Formats: sequence, structure tokens, C-alpha cells
Amino acid sequence: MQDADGEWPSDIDLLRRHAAGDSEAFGELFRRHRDRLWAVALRTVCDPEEAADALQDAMVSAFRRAGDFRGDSAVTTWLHRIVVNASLDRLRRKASRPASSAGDEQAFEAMWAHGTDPAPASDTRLDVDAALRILPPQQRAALVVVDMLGFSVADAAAILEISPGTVKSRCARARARLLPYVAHLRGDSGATGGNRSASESVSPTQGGDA
Amino acid sequence: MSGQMTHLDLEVLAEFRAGLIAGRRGAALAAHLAGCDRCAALDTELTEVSALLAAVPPPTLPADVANRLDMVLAAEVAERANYPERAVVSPSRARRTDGRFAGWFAGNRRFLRVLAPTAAVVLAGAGYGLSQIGGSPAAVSAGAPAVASAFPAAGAQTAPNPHSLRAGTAVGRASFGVVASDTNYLPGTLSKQVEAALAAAHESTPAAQAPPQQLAACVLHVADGARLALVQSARYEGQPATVIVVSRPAGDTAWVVGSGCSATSEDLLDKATLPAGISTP
Repeated sequence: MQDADGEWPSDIDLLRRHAAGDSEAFGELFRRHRDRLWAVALRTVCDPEEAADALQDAMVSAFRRAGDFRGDSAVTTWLHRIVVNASLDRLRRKASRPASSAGDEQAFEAMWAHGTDPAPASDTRLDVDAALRILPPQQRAALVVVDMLGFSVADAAAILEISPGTVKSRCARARARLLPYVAHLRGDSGATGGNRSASESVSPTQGGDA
Repeated sequence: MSGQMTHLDLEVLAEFRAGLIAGRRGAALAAHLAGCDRCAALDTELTEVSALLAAVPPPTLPADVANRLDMVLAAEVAERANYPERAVVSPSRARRTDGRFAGWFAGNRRFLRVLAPTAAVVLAGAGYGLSQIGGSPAAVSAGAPAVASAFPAAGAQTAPNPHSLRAGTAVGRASFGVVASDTNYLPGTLSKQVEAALAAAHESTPAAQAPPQQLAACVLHVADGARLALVQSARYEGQPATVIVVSRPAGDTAWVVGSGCSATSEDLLDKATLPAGISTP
């Protein structure tokens, strides 16, 4: 989808084309960002099936509400905001359903067994994913956006629709709470062959208030 | 904890590192850190949490999820191509309808998941499940009588109604079924053959199948918002073709399109005008 002059269109160009009726533009825009958006959804809801639903909800919402985009933030910020909201909505809906520990266990298993990645998942990733589950959703969303995706506090505030101070405070609490669960991974970041038994130290039952 | 009162709480330390604690209290914390190996070590560990998180390789979007998103998006695009007035939705309107859309997708997510591996169709009526998915339309009842009908429900939903159009039934409006037929339509007798097919369709309701994605987009393009009286997979001069009967107050039109028909071009093989009201008994 290159322009006549060979330039790739910007995100905002694609969104404008979409709003103007171009049938290809939104797909191009969404495909550009969907891997990162998937990471946000998966790490916020901690369940591949729920994450897929959240990402789908978000995509449809963004498709239909492109007219809402006011240009006061980057298109990526807007897309991430919609995905975070869809993810938190999914979690709220899930929380309002009758909870069963078996279902939770299944979701946990599913996350570990989700082996469609071309590259083998590193132990570090699995351990971190498991550890993230101990965090309250709002703290987790903040930590994912800032520490894992590398957004600035200001951008994170726009994505999460909270003040920068609240972003900092949620991230700080999340880091403190996470530390006991990931301490064994220090110096092992990104490497494979981490201590397998380390995952056993991560237990949601230990996730009391820090 | 009584023996650790002099040491810093992990959360306090994290808030200090996040720049949330300043002034005299901040200075006191900094002074404590400078003189306490234990708290300094904890502080180091804490900063490493962020580094560790940043270094975790990102997950890959699974292929089945990617396929599913592509299909849902294609349905959205086809839907909008047919109803461009939905292209820009006002914020208040969007919020009101979003819940209903979200409900529809939630109710059908398992269905969509099943669908995902095949390059099939997403255009289902809200509350009207697809009878079958995947495969070619011609696969159904090859020897059945050469008659077909769009779903009656689909006809009702496609009746012009600007309110329902914006009220969240958008997906439903795109619903129609394709019926397989062994009729070989011919140039000289097209309108007579279509009339016979319509008449037969009123007498019995044959099994209809969901259209493949490209055909769904094609039909929506041809119908251009009007009611669909018939979508039939048949032959025209011996070649595979789709007969689409579009019903308008001024009269019905039968379109015969080839396999190249899509959201943007008809691949028109033949076209016939039928008497007004022929598709409604």
C-alpha cells in the first residue's frame, strides 16, 4: 500500500483514508500495530482466548469509531487506549461471571500451552507472564505499558486515561509487588535455559498485599 | 516486621524511585539508602525489575487469532461498503451501539474461533446462526431442485430502515444464504428461468449456505442496500455463476455474475429486469 511516490503512508494518513471510505486503509493500519497490540492485550488479561476477544473487540471499535479520533494524541496511543480498555472490560466481565478455580487453572494451563509461536518461548517470558498474574489489573496494565512496551509516563497516562502521577504510583506498586516473584530471573533477562523450577515459586496464593 | 522498622518498605522504595517521594522525606530516604547495604541491594533489585520486563521477548500474534481478525475486519469492510452512511459514526452514537456489537461478538466468539481456520464467512444475522460454513456454495444438495431463496429473515432485515441501520443490527443486515442449484441459465431464457426459480422458492425453503467471503462482499456490492430476493449458485452457459436477484420497489433485477465478482467489481455475465413484485407473492 505504497503511495504513488513510493512513500509509506503515515498512521494518521491511513486513519483519515479509512474515515473517508478507503476500504484498505484500516487493515493496513491495524496490521502495522497488531503485534504490539496483541502483547498489550495478552499481558493485561493474561489469557490467550480472552486476549483474542479483547483485541477483536478493540479492532471493531477502532474501525467504527475512527471518526472519534481528534488527533490530540498519536494514532498508536489511541489504538493502545482502545485495546487496554477492551482488555480491562474483558477482565471486568470475567470477574462478574461465577468464578471457578478450575476455569482459572485452565486459563493458566492454556497460556503455558499456547505454543504457536515460531520461536520457542523463553523461560523468562513464561515466568514473567505468570508473575504478572498476581498483579491487580490496573497496576498490571500500567506496568505493561511503561516497563514492557516502553511508553513514556506521559504517553502511558494518555493510554490509560489517568494522571501521570497515578501511572508512576501504579507502576511503583506493581514493581514492588512483582519483585519477589521475578528476583530469581535477574541477570537472566531474555535468555533461555532459566531455572525451570523457578516457576514453582510463583504462586498466586502468595500475592497478598505488599 | 518489628525488627525491620529501620529498613525501607519495598513499596516506599519503589515510590521513591518513581519520583513520587520528594522533600524532606525523600532526603531522609536517600540518606538511609546511602548507609544501609540491605536497602541499597533491594533498591538495585527493584531497578532491575524494569530492566527485566523490558527485555522479555514480545509474544507473537498466533496465526489463528490473526486469521480471525482478518475475517472480522473483512466483514466490517464489506458491511461498510454496502452502508457507507455508517462510515462516520458520532461518538455518542458509537458508544450506544458498541455495547450491542460487543454483545454480538461475545456471543459468537466461539463460532468465530471455529470459523477462523477456514477462509469462510462472518456475515451472520444477529440471532440468526449460519447453517453451515466453509466449502463452496455448490457443495450443497447438488441434485436438489433448481430453486432457492434468500432467508426470509434476511429479507426483512434488509428492508430500508434508517433507524435499524444505525441501531446496531449492521451485521444482521448483511445476512443472506446461498443456495446451490444445477440450473444452467442461458442468455435467451434468463428472465423466465429466474422467475421459475423465484416461484419455486416461495413454495419450499431449500437449505441455504453462508457465502464465501468474496461472494458475500460481491453480493453486498451488487445489492447496494436493496433487498435480496435470491442468491443462487448455479451455472450460466455451462460456467459456474451466481444469480443475485435484487428487489426494489421499481422492480426486481437479476444479476448473473462470474467467479471474479468482488466488493469492487461485478464480473457481470448477464442481467435481466423482472416485473415488479415478482419476488413477493
